[in-house]
Amino acid sequence: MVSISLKNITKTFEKVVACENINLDIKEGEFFTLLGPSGCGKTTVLRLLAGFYLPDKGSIFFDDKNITNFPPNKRETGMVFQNYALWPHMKVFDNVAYGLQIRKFSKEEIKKRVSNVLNLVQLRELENRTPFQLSGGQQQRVALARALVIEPKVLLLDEPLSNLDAKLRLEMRNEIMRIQKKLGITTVYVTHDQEEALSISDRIAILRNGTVQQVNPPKEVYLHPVNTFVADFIGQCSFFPGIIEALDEHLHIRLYSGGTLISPKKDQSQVGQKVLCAIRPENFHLKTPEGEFDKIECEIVSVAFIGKSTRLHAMIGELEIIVDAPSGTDLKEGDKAIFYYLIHEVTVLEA
Amino acid sequence: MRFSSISKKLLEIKWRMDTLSWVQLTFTIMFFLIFMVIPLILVSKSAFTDDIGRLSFSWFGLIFNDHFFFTNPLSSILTSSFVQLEPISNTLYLTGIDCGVLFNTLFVALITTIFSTVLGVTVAFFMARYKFWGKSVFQTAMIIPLLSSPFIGAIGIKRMIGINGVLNLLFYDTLHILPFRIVIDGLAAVIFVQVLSFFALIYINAYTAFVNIDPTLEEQAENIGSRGFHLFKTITFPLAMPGIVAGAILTFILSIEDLGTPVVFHDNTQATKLLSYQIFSRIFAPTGDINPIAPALGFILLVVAIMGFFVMRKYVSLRRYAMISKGGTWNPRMTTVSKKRTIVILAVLILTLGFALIPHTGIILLSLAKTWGVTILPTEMTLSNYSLLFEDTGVAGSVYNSLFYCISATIIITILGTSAAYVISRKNIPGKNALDTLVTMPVAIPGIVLAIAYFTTFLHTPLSPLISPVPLLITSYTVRKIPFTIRSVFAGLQQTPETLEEASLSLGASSTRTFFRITMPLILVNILAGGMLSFVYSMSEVSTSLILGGVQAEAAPLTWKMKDVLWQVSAGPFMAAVLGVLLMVIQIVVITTVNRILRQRLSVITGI
Repeated sequence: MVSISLKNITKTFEKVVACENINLDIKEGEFFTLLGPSGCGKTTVLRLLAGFYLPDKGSIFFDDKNITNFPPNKRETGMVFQNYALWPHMKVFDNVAYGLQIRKFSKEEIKKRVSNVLNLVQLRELENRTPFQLSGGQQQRVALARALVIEPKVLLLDEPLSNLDAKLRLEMRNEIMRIQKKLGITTVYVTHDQEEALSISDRIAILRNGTVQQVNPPKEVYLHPVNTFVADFIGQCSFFPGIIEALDEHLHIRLYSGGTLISPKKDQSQVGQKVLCAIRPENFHLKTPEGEFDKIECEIVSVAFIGKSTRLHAMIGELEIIVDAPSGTDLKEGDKAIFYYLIHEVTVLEA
Repeated sequence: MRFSSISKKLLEIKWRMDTLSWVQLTFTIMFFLIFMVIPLILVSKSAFTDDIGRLSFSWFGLIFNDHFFFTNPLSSILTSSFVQLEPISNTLYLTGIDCGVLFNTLFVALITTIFSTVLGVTVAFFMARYKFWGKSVFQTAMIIPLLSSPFIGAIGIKRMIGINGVLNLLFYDTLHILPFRIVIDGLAAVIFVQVLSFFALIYINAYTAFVNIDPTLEEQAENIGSRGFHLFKTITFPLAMPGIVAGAILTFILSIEDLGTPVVFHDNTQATKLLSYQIFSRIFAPTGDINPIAPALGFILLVVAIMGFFVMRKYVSLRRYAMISKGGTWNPRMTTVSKKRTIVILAVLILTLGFALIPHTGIILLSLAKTWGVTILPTEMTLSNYSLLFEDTGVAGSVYNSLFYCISATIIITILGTSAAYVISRKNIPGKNALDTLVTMPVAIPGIVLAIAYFTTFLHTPLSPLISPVPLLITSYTVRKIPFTIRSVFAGLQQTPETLEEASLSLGASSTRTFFRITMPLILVNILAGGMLSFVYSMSEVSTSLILGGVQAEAAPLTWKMKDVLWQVSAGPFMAAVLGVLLMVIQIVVITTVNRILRQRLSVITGI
């Protein structure tokens, strides 16, 4: 088990900067997720860790060993690829045994270890199949087994669930969590699915255009996004641009769109400062909530029933907001409505 | 800053390349340098060197001042005619117009390309887009035209189209369908032979291009109101264009370097007034003497062919745009046609196939003939010609020679071709495109030029063809036919996700182990298929065989033997036809096998 640290990593592909000045410290045994939209550089970081790319600048350490210039076969990482990369000309057993053969284990030892790891991923009975005879979920498990059997220092997972259907994805997600916790192996996980990232990780790094935006545990990322990108990417938000009008134990913000908003105080807030407030759709309420609250008035412009709730789009003057109301609501287009929000659930961002 | 960026580049290269890749890269480059680049440079240099070794344009001066090579084509075209009706024998003579060797070569290639393209594209469009009665029969039959090189085809055709040829005897004397006899001779015969050989190549390219068009692109156009010919003109044809143009340029290159056809029709002087033949006739292989004009002629041929090659590469790279659409597999668009249309389509196809089968019919009939007078079928039929293959030491020897040379060449091709394709496909190193150009370029290098280049370069070295032509015959086949294997292996590597290899590396396997345990098994069928194609086209290689084979009769390959009997022996056509049939049979076996194992159409055949 190792800790990983990336120091000032920059990687450019033919003038396109894939990641720029990345600094990350991943702890021993941690389940660490790189999250971001496509093209944000998350896979590049993972492939830098695996040794498929050489960084332009910066260094990578496993514990305190600088492995920046190590080729992939000297890094002792186990990688699970997005397309699983199972070798079609080998049976399941041979796929899994490959890494052990390279390490020159005896035949009996290989047999023992392969069956152990296939037991772990619950595929013991399929070892004589070829990859083509397996379902997507089974292929996924084989890929995982193949990476785990060599007892790698680091497990690297590149969007391993993106090719599975929704139900299987949930099942495999739990499976990966179970195995990771059991083995306690340092794991780096790449995904663009924020829900997946939130549910599976110890910590999440959110990337955008090759730079790290925020590194925090899931809850922290969701509740206290550091900027509009993170706020918008992790769940949805309504944004309220305005200017601080008054300061008491809260901030009183005059919105450009008209009306005011009350938010928690931040350390260096001053009257006259421009700010951007964000409120999650589920944090608007139709009735007065418990705790310190305020309200906004708006006009409903669209209503969409989405099962567990009803999503409303509403306008405050020129400003559009998103509200998740209980599915039983009878609000309709054109209705005037009042929504309540808890002051401490408002996030203040720099404008 | 400068220095650090260079050292960073070097570090990156060192990091990407492992021992195996270095070995692969070095051997490929060395081979191409020694057996292609340096000889071509030396032969070009000798084209610009006068008798006493000074830089000079004198040979080009001689060529351009000689009416034999260079005349104003307009005056020839205006003063002579290519059709003549001879009233006494009631015969229509179709010959070419002699405009001097240079313009003859150019015009023959252009006309061949135009006819082949029109014919090939038409047939391809019918096959790709229409459902009609009897289509599967035609689809199978369209493989047959691919099975003849112009050389073999010419031998068969010559017997069919003469004044007492099979076609005249059948359609004029017997069935009275034709109002007069038709004789095709001279340059017209060369064009006729080449069109029948090359249109199939365009057909394959165009067919693939049409089938690969994402149907939603056309459906979208229809959806906004385009139909019929407008749709074809604005969407379908432009999308298929890169494939068609690539095929057309390849046809042009193959036409200007074709030596086989003029060799067969050499008894008509006009047919020999082509660059390839003129170079060929200026080399006396047994002593290695080369007329100093030959390198200059070769240089002209080389420059035209290489220009064609670069235009073609540009179009092949454009070909990708036909395939940018997302989404998985699709069913190509197919229209079921009305009865009337079916008749038109069938008529075109039957006529085309009828013509396309002339060479094959001719060569099979010839191979079965004991004597053949003025009759439709041979006067006396026999299978005994085939015993030549076992009894005649000269013929049998040439077959064994060819097998030995081609198998040796195929082994080298497989190793070098796989190496080159692997490095190009997998190693992102500077100069990768140049390497790709280098190894694909043999497609455009006329065999005749390579052959005189070998004489120029190696005559006074231990590799001298006069000591033994064998090493150079093998290397000439290797250089000429390696693109087939490279393309096939490259295609295999493109279809194999690189992550399969990365998975192996990340599990701790070395690059070498990964190459042999993962990469090679995954692309084995492509290596096999490519190797087989290279083999079969080595067997039917004409130009380098005719020249290098001319050094020692007993070391000569099969195609040299065909030419030898054609020119020297009265029963020569029968003997040559037997060898031609043998080559065709080998081709049928190989091409159908390759089709089976690759499970795809023959587009690899074009080698581009």
